[in-house]
Amino acid sequence: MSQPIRNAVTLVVDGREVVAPEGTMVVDAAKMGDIEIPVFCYEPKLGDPVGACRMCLVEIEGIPKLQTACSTPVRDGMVVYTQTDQVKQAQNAVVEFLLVNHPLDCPVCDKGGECPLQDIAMGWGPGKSRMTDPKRHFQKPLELSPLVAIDRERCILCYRCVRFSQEVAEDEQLQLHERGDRSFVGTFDDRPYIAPFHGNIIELCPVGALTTYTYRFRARPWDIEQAGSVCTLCPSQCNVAFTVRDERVMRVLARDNHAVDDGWLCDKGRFGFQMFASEERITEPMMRGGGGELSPVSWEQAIEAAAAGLRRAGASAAALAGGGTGNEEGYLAQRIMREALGSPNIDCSPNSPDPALLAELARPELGAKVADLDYAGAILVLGTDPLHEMPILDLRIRKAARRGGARLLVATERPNALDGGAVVDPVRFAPGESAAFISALAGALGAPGYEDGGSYAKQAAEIAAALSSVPDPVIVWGERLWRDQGAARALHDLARALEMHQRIGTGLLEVPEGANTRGLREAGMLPAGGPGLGPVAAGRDAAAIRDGLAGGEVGALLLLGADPVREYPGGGAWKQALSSSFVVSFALTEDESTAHANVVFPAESHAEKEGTVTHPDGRIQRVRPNVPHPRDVRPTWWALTEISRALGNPLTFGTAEDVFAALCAEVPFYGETAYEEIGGQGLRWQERDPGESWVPGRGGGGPGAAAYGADSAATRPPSESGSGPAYAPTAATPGPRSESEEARGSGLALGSYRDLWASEVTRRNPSLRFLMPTQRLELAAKDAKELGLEDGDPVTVSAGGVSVEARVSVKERMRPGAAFLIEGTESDNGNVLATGSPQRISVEKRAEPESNGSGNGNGRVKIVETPMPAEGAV
Amino acid sequence: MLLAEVGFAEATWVLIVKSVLIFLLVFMIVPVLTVTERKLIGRFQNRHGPNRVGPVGLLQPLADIVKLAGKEMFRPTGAVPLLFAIAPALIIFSGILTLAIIPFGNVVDGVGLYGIDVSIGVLYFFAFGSLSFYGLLLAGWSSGSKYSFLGSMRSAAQLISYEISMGLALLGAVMMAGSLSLTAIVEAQDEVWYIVPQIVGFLIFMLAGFAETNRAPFDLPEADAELVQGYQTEYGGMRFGSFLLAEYLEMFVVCAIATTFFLGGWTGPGPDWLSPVWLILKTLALIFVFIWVRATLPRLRYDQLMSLGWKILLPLATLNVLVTAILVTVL
Amino acid sequence: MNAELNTDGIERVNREFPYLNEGDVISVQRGPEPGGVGGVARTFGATLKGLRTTFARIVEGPVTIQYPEEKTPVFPRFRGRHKLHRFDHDGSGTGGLEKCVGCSLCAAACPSDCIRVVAAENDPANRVSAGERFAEVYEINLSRCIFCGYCEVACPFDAITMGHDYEMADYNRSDLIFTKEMLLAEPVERTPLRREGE
Repeated sequence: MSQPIRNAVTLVVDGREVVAPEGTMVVDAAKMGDIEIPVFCYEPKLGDPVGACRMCLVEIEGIPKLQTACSTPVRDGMVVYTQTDQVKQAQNAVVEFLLVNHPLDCPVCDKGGECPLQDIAMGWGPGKSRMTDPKRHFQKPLELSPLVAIDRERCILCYRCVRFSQEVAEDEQLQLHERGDRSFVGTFDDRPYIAPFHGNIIELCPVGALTTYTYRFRARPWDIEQAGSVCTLCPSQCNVAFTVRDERVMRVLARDNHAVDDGWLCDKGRFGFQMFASEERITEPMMRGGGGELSPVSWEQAIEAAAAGLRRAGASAAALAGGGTGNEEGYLAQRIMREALGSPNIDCSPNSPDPALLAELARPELGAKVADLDYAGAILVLGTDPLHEMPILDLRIRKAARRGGARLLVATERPNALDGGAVVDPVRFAPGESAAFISALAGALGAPGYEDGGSYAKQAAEIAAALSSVPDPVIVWGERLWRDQGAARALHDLARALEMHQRIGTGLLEVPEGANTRGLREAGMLPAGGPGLGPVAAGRDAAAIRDGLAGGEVGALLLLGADPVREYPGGGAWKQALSSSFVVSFALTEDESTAHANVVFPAESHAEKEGTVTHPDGRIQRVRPNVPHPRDVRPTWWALTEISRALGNPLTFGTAEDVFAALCAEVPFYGETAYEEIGGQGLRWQERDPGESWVPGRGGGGPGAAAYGADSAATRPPSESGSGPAYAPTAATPGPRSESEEARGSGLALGSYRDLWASEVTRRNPSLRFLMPTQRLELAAKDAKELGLEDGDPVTVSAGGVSVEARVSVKERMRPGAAFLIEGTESDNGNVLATGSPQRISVEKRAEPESNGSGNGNGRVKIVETPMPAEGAV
Repeated sequence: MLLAEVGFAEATWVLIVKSVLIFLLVFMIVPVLTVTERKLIGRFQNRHGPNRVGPVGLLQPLADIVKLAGKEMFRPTGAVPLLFAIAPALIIFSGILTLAIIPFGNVVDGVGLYGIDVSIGVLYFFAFGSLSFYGLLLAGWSSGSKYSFLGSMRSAAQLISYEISMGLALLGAVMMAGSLSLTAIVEAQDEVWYIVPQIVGFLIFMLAGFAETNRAPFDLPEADAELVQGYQTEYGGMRFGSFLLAEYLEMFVVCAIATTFFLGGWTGPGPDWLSPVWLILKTLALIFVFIWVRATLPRLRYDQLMSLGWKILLPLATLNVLVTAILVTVL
Repeated sequence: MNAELNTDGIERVNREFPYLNEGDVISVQRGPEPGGVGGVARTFGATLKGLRTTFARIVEGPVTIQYPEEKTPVFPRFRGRHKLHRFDHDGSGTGGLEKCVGCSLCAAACPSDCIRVVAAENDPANRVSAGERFAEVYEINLSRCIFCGYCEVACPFDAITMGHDYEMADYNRSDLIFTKEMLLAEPVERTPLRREGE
């Protein structure tokens, strides 16, 4: 289903002629004519209007009774009156009714000053109340969740929060209980409302009924400054506005950007602001002294020490960038490595994509943008769990399935929150076997060079049928597929087989693991890809850097906001590698990698940083400083230019904008983008100049050096040049691994996943700590039974001589023979076992520890993953 | 070499005792004058004046002196060090010297109640009184500041302009007494004070006296509104205090001279030893007039000052001398 | 020149001027020229008049009010230093609690931006104010305050009023930032209040 074309209709509102697209509601049409109709419950983001509050009543010629403007679509020739006596009487009456039970405690209420009810009562209300009877009373304020307080007396029953819970987040936890004047919003049995997106109801509430404990009574609208930026905690890169009081971030609000986040925020982004002003922040450079302790030093000393260490390593130095690193910082880091040190050892993620294939996949015609999901005919979620890796995309996919009618297909190794909505039975491939499935799918779709067969033939055929039966499919795939040899190549070939490059509104959307992985890749933070994904001398990727550090071939490591010990596979090996090497780390707080660093620089948070990031769909967005740098924190780009200068490679950049200009000069498809051009909503480089088609992967070449699809042999290594698409389809490399076949009986295949809350952010924000997960071993019911385990049993999971402790979690829709651990938990990190290559584990039951629930696990609160209702259930 | 003829002379130790006594007396009077002036000006303006330090504010001068003495005596870089330092001393020096000839009384028990009785009394007064002009000029010039220099230039012009009228005003009284000696002039007034026949001379002398002592309405040299204290601008601490001291000293001297020439000097009812009291009382009365005038009249413009001096006072004084001469000769 | 004094006191010149209407030209009366014997006499007279005027002031005596020993009473609506209030002990259960709930409306109304309020949530076991919310920090920077009284007008709970104290001089600027405790404390009544009809 492609974007529908709407005809324009003309209507008259208060004597003013307004032209609006067909299907627009009268409220929105009036707004186009600069006429405001007051609303409470109307919120287009929540789906179809409900007309619950009756605030928007208007008079329409030819209809004797007043109509709700929010739920009446415009018609050609419609004549609307919003100012007649009848309308005013109705508005007065509605406001008076709403205020019958609304306590007038505005001075106490947190919403005071930014309250739609206040505004509407002032603008459209009668000005006085005839109510003399007592108002209804509830116990207040009650804890709706550990983060949200509910004051039911203030609630005007507009249903917004309930509709969000039921139709947007689809967790269905919020309900309206009772009837009539006893109605109230709550959860079943007063259980806490725990869901990854529930913070949005605070912003939706038009009164002060839902407030968050992190902002309750902290500031008034006239105490604060508000400025926009971009959240860089995950690849969603939601547009946010920081509320700042006394130079401290007090709350995070969504900044509606249809092309990115649709106006929603996940709780991690919304409540993950306390770390900005945390006492645990590193606020000055530190060096490890003789006693092995980090102690503060001056910037000059630290820069000198870092440069000296890197200089000693010379061409054997290496750099790793973490997800939150900005484009500018990544660009500078790779320049330090390549220019000042002559080292090609650069990476920005644990998965090492092939730069040539990456460039091919980054072609504008193959990429889908987030907004394409809304009108996609089918969405295939392939090897990723958007809820954990790019949470806002999860909401977007749900919206597409619910409202856009997209056919949802899921093919992942681990059960997924979207499984319930899949129209075809979700495919579960074994951990590490994504290439086999995708090759089978490519074969089923008729991609040349792939065979239609293998162990996934039947499932692949079902998915292929669903994909090819609709016009505009979008494939959302996880960066992790790069780990499996051949998977990405097969994906590329099947996209071409689906002729995605021939149509607009269809394509591939990669969900990277780092927030700005796409930007970092395009800035040249790849072992074999320079700025613009151009070919350069190949260096070591993340795993090779680790091995090099351990073996002494890599002399020094520069970490830019990366914590490989905690976040990269093979955490134990990383720990060993770092402890014996010279490590320079830019970090927000002390983490498991700074524990081994020789020089630590304070990093900037995304509330302080000036720079750009690139969204997974190619949208360049600006991160803007909202609060000053705490104490002696200085811009990272500045520190990097100073290190470069100390290494004898002076870079003359005065501002972050200068760095971006230099970056744009080297990345052909970024062109001469200026900060102003990016603006508040970002700019997709693919759309910047539709007249030209930029082809990534041509370092130094001008935009549009060759028509897309044509060969670019001149710039490619000869072994990879071919005819037709630069990446000639080759035979699917590894089929289903023979090893896995034979190993089936010898243990469970270990997979791992990145939990949304298993990160440093959760710990550094006190309000989120209750969500911090402890390690759990996810098992299929069949396997659990075979092993004699039950849900909640403590077990020891071991592989290759190392082991972690976990609790069993029996999950539905698990593939028998697979088991999953969480990566990046604070203790018992799954990365210790998951080394990036397929692993077999043995599971052993262990005695129940005496204290029930270890430290962080909150006994009362259980993290519920939102199951998607099955098709037709809604 | 004999500089002047002395009418009556005592033993040297008596002279020393007398000079110390006169010096102390006058130096006791100056602080009283400062506080009196401030309190009187307050009263002239419906105010109290200083009343915080000591009983009814009487210790105010002490506080002022302590404050001034406690301040640093700084010197601007552009100043001429030696001259800058001696200028205030020069002014005080000239004031004290003129004190010597003021007759506080006649010869009592073989002791003349004055410092010295010289036959050239008036000349002595003018000779040493004019020395203060050097003090002002040196102070202004050596400060190395425009304001100071302008102030001192003004005072130079002013002193020259008014000294002539002042001398001419006294000439009438001198002619009537037939002597330059101050004791002789006082004794010549035993019938009628010269203020009666010489009212014009008295008024001219008083006007010129305002100008000579740089007091309102002729305080142009220090005009704080335009010259920020004129020649005193760069001075601080006790050097600045010296200028203040000299101003009151001069005022006392001018008033004492006026008393001697026009108000019968020490003469008054009662025994002879009361004569210093009479002189001081008459002098204080004139000082009251000084203060009164200061509280009343605004400062003159420079051209007004000059035209008053040259066009009115000088012809008037000359006329007065002529008329007196004719009358003295004729009668 | 013919001139005539009209009823409005302006003397108009009765002569025809080319290009001008009748009555457009007025004659101006000037004082006698200075200088000359007459000038001297007038100046002397004026000086005596001045001396008389100043001397009369001595007779009148001083009119100074000897502040701090003597003070003039202030009017009841005089806007002096602010006071924060507590509820009276009237048996309603709120006695002693602060009236201020930390709504910040005073800060919003303040034209010189001298009020800073940081609110916090009440602990039901240990209440500070009667409502859900209380002012954890309430500061008035009196060196910026212009004593306009808008805060008093804005306050929905009559928690802040303008008192009568105007003696707030201090040695440090920082001492002029009055905290909640200072504003809540019973002020030292240093200023007499004007009685009814006074």
